[in-house]
Amino acid sequence: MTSVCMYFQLHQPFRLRRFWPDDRSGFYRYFDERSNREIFERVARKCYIPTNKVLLDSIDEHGGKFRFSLSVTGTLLEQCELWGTEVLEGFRQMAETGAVEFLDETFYHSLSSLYENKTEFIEEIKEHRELMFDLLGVKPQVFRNTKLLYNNTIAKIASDLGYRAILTEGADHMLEGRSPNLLYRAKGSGLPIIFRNYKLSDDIGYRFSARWWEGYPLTAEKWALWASGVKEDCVNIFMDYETFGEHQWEETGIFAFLQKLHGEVLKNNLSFSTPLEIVEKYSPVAEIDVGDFSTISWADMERDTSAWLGNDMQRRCFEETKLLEPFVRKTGDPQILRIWKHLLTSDHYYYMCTKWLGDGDVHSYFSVYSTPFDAAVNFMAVVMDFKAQVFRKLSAIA
Amino acid sequence: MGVHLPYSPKWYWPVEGFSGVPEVDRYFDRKNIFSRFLKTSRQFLRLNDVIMESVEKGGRYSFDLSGPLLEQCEWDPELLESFRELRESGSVEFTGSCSYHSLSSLYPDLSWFQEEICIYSEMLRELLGVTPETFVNTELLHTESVGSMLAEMGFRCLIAEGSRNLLNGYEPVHVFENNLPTLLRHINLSEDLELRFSEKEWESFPLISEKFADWIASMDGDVLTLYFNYTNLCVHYRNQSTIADFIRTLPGALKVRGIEMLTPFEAVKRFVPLRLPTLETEQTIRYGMHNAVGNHAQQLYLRELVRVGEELSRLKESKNYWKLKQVFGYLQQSEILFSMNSENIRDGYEKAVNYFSILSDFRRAVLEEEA
Repeated sequence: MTSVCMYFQLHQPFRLRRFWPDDRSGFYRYFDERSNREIFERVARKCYIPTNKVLLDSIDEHGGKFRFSLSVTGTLLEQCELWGTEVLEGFRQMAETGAVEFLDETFYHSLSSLYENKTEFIEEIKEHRELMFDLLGVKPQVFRNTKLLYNNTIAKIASDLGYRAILTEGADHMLEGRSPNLLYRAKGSGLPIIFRNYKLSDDIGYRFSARWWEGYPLTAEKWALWASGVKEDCVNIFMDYETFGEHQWEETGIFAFLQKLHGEVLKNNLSFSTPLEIVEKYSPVAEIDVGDFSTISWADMERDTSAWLGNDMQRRCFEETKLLEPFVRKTGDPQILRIWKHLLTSDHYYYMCTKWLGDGDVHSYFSVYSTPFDAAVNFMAVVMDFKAQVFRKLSAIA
Repeated sequence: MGVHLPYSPKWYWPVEGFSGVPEVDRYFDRKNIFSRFLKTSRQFLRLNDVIMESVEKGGRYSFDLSGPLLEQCEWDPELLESFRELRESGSVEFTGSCSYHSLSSLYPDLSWFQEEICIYSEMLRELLGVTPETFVNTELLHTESVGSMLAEMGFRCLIAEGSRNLLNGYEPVHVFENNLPTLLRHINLSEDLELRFSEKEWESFPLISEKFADWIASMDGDVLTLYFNYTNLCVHYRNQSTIADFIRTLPGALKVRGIEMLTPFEAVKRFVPLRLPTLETEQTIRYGMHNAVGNHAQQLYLRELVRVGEELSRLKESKNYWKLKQVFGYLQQSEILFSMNSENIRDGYEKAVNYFSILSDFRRAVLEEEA
């Protein structure tokens, strides 16, 4: 029986305020308390709370048969603690059902996996692991990196940290004709890899309400029938949690679709499995080799790192924050360290992306800035001020 | 005439920074600046020859040579020699300015501004043997707060932009009364020479000196101030327009219409200053500066310059103070601010990101020096 492996991504960054070097101090000198709170509350109302409810109801309805996994970033969990305990309560209930597997990732949804020095990357995974245990009482066994960024080295680190599988994008240029519906293993570490079936995932996440699409309108019956066409091991459906209620508004019928989905899937003789169950059930069929300079991700058409490091503004900002690391650590100041870590969040770099054709509308949808140039100038202004703070501190303790 | 060649920052990568006391070359591409200077200095030389011919026919001029230009002259002593010859003619005045072509007159603390002027005057004395009596601020900026300081420093004339909000309906055809007697640039006539001279579509093309002298003769008033960028004249010259003939024949054309050419200082000595109430208001800046400090990036950069300037001024006893101060000077050049102008936001803001990165490395070096 083919398994449907569903995983939903949940994340909110701490967005920067429009920076001006005034008298504010601490975390909110750089980060915008009000707009982050407003965005969080809006998304909680439109997506997190109703989707949690639909999914919890579905689990109740089918006993243990409806199963899925969630990956929640540390930055979102921090926001839940600050502004949305109801959302956090929903996650706790899910953890208690035993039908939901939580995954680990970088605490800050950061690009630290792209640093040559992996200290920060490993530290962030450990921070996330701790938070998951503290808040939800779970110990994740499967790893997914920020935006599914993947290469052999990332897999090796996940393997060394004890994870039993890693998730990534089923990018065509890497699969080269092989099926994403089977389990593979990473070159070097041998860690099992679960690939996203982007066609069936995007049918829901991206195309659900697209009138130009021949599949419109998408019903749970139709989608389950397509999924049942897969005769291999697993159909891996990865998408943003915000698909439900935020990217696809309630008026599109997305919640009704979600309510019916599990029933239709089960009717079509498919079963649900979480990522850990997938690696227990199936065996890798071949080795996958992705070098450090061919890193893949689930972003944009290119499915590489170009959404964050595609232009010189992004590369300058990335290089600045990367090179700051040893100095930030040397200050020994927990607040400085916390601010720095939040500057590594991938969203800041995503806002600076200038690949307007095709993906531009997606980028601008997610951005609070009017142009990627504003985003870059604002970020670098923050870096300029923060860097002075770091070196002032170091001078003082020298 | 303003003669200026800025030092342009290079595309810097943070990996070049993060340690040590920066040399100018860390942030500026001197090779590129050098090759541009060599090209331009030859054009300046030829134009200086034309000015000299005009002087011999009775022309009188003044030059506002920028600090960065004077520094670059060491690469071409012939150019410096040519300015010396103009000085020796007795018909050319050299004005004072900010040595780094900066906007330091906008800083809350004017000590950098004052220091830049002193450095510049010293440079002018040393290289050309003159002590400036007229002051021209960067971009002809007029800031009320600096007037009395300039007077105390010995300046006796100021040239500023004849912007509409300053003139408030008056024509800029007098010496105006202020802390310093002030001449205001006539924008239209200056730009006729500076911008429109080679434009074939312009209704007054081709502009000959007789026509230009007729326009001036038809105006009332004591004195008319024309100020233009020397580099633009070079562009006209390169386009083989008739600018050289225009300059050579201008003194004669003016003379037959009873118009005399004067240097700025001669003008303020000769005419009784007229009161212009708008010059006396409490506003600090009267000249529209939105091109330089109008957007978020520019304001952030200016603000950071002020902050790092304060930090640097506390390091006067420090070992690397002079080295840091020189680099700080170049980082203040007004061109850096102008080039972040967001009328082309892509171009301007990509540069701004680069400049912020540069300035942040410089500030790092200053803060490390404090330790």
